[in-house]
Amino acid sequence: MKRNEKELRRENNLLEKQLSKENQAILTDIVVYLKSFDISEYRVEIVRQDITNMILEGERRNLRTEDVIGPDYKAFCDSIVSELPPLTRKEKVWNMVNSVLLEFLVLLPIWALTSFSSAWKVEHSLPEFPVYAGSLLSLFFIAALAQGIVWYITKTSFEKEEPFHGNWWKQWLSLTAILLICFLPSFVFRQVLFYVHFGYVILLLLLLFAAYRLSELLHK
Amino acid sequence: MISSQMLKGTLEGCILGIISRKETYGYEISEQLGSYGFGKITEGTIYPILLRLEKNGMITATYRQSDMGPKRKYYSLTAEGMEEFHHFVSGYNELSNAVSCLLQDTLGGERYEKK
Repeated sequence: MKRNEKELRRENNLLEKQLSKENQAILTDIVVYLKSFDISEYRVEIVRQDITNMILEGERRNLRTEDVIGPDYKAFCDSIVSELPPLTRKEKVWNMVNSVLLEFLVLLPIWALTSFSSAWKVEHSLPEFPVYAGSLLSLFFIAALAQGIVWYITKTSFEKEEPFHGNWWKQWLSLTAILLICFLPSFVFRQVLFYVHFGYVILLLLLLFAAYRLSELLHK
Repeated sequence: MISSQMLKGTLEGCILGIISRKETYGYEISEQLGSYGFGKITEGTIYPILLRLEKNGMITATYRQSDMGPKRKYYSLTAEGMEEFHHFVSGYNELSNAVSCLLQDTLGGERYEKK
């Protein structure tokens, strides 16, 4: 199923390029919004293929997208979602595990770099890396923030805000403030919880990578 | 103009009826509904219904190249779909007769009172 999904996504990407720029943007909003629901990626790709062909045929008939699928894209998506089977509990757990593994695969090397710098310049503990209470807290906050940002972007894909107008500034100021709050513990709580050998960090990274690949293979 | 609430209960059966005549695609279904006096019904209104019918095994869908360029999803009726369509027809006839009788009596009554 995974291979079919990849193949379908590749075909859809090529198909989408045939659309006008304006319709590509509409389709992106639709797909992003659909991804905010508990629907399998494969089903989203099937629907994406149907909608792309629908809009493409509309273009050939000189019809606007709102004439093809109606003026309320959000309502259109909601009616589609209500007809698609939701993810099973197993699939939901798999999705969550997969995204958490991916997040830590990104965050762990960043933590390792900052910890290496502390081990070298502050703690003089190389090859042992210090694990600060604050760094762990910050890592978890950042992981949660990343999930929150994805949720916000997908849920509000149809709400258009012009940059540098209205709520746009407020949103970016709030985001910056939240980011600062996420990083704050790593500056405040500098107590070393324990030291971990450089080799174990590499091993953990490899294990995370293997677990991520395995969870992908199991999903096939 | 037919209200969306009135359409809601009948559109699914009407779409089954259109597909029962020949294998067809979304745009053609929307055009046919328009030609029968249903007003402007976009493919966006029809598509979720087609998804539901497909999910419930009433119709099957296959992609085929079209003369317009992009591939088209053609829908055809299954045996269950045909059975469902017959249920719809008998149910609708019953409803239609009931509503007709009620309206005849109601409008007849009004005319009587006016006289």
